[in-house]
Amino acid sequence: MSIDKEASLIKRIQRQGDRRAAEALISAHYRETYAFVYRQTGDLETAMDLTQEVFLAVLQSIHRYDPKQAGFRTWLYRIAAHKLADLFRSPEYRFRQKTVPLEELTLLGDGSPEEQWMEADQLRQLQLRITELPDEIQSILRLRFYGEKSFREIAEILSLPEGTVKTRYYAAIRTLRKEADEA
Amino acid sequence: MTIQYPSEEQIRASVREICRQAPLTERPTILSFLRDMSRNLGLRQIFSGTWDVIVICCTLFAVVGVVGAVELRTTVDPRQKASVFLFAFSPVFLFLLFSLSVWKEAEGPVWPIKMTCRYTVRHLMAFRVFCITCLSFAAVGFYTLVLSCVLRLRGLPLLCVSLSSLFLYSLIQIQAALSVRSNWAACGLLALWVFGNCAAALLWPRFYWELLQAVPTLAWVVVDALLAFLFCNRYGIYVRRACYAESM
Repeated sequence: MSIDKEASLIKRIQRQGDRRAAEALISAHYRETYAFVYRQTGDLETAMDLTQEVFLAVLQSIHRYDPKQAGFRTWLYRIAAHKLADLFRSPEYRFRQKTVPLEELTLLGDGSPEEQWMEADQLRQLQLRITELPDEIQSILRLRFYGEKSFREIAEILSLPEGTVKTRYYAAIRTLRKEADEA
Repeated sequence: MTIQYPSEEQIRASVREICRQAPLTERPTILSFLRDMSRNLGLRQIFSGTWDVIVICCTLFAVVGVVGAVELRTTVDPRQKASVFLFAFSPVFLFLLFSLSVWKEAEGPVWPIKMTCRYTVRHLMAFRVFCITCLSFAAVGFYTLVLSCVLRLRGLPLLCVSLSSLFLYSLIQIQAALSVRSNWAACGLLALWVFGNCAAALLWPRFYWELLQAVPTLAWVVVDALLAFLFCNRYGIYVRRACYAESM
């Protein structure tokens, strides 16, 4: 979708509460947002629920969105990162991650079942470790790992200087590596 | 990692559900906001807990107004002094109302009560700013007309001067509320303007008079209209911010 078309849809939602414009805007960004969420949750239903929550938050606060301050995608990722941080912080999610039965493990990759389970287990372990980190560092890692964003894009999304993002990212990687080695 | 996407039908259903649940409403205009607030709240509720502030301000305004009028009646050139007096004095009433309301708001136990209401404190503040401004305009306009009758001066030039001063002050007040996050900081900024203005009018009345005299009545009308337009524009932004600040 072109930037002009996107801006016009946002204006229509802001001014008239136009439902069709909202549907068009969400449809255009649904798959990308879903993929960002899915890479971190690894579960279709959770990812769909969370994507829905992200877009609800977007529409709830769209009257406050100012295109001069940030691009729409940047703003969308910012909301998605906050929603994910909320999810990973919730006691229900932490409990579920620690007690997930073997038969409920979702197979994620293409290899043999053993390889897929190992991959899923590694992902869960990594998720748990990331969850222990402060919110801002969690957001940096998630955007880098799962959003495949550059440091500049992450800096824009989180309204931080690029240098700070890099420093915090590498410090977090060192911490995670150290913890993994100790485990 | 392979991403397991939902089907196109699932995505469409999800998008429809999001739009069904989302509060998609038209952006309120200033008029719809004011109409809604005045219908649902009324003056009794909007000034609830601040009637003492209003009485104090009205009394002070009346006392200073009467003293000023008596002084001006005995002066040699009442036209000159009246213009300077009105320009400096007009925003004082609004300033007192605003700052004392802010003080009362901070002191009083109204927060938990207001939190249970349909409107937030920000909504109330936005509507109160409008009501207080209207009240000030009515009081200052009435006083100016009474003063012009007492001093036997032409009412329109005096009214234009006092309204310009008030519009200018209101504009600064709205801009301060938009730019400065703390109400106290906004009050400090406004106090600087009001007291600086009063002090300058007392210390250099001739300079003030020359400045005010240099502008013809028609230009004052244009300035008033321009300031009124700017005030409405800034107030619209203020209302939108007040309405949506809590929704994220």
